[in-house]
Amino acid sequence: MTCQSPIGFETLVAYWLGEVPDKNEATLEEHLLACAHCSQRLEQLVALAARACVRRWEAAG
Amino acid sequence: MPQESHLAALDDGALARRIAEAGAAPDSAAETELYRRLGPRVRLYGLRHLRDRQTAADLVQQVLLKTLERLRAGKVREPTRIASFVLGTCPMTVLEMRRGTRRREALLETWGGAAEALEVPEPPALDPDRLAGCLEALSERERSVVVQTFFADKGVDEVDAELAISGGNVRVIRHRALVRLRDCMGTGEDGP
Repeated sequence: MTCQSPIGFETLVAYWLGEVPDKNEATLEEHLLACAHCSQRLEQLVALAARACVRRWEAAG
Repeated sequence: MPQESHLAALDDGALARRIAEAGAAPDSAAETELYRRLGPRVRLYGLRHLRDRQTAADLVQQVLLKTLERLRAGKVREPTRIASFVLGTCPMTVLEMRRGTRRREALLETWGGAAEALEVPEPPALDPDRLAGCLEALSERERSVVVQTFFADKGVDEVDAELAISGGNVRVIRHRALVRLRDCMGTGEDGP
């Protein structure tokens, strides 16, 4: 599974956090819906950040 | 060649076309494969816009059942561009869900038990011990930025006010922390 033009890591983070301008968001979303490679990279990023926060929260509690 | 491996070799558009061409005699193997592929991607869309796992799971079911329904009925103009169709269906369905439209019940009634057979793979699990070690390796400031951003769902402006860091620095620290976590966890990256 490969992608000819993978979305940059920083752009994936910005997309997830709602920091991408509206005019670019639809293009990104179409790529993510069509591309197993980039959607898996986003999924890994989201899982990592979410799980890291839960661990941190548990440690703080 | 067994049917499963034959289907796995098809791209999304070819799968969608196959479902459309099957018409009134549904190709359930192709439908299951398309659902399995698109499910995680629609779930991400749902999580991004709805920020809730259960609501995102409902969105996956509604969007993909509608997509299969339209493919079967020959009402998707370009099955080979199925991602565009799904992208158009997602925001409409989010709006319907926010308005409380009872579309989900109607869809499930139409699909009956067949909907239960369609599954979306769960995201890969992360090794909790390894993650704990990777978190420890971050600086306190990096950990705080990650938690404030992803757990408390705060924007750059709020994080910089809370942690007394400039907005530009919040982005730099966030990026550095995520790259370090990703590399430490070995989740890989080949994007630019």
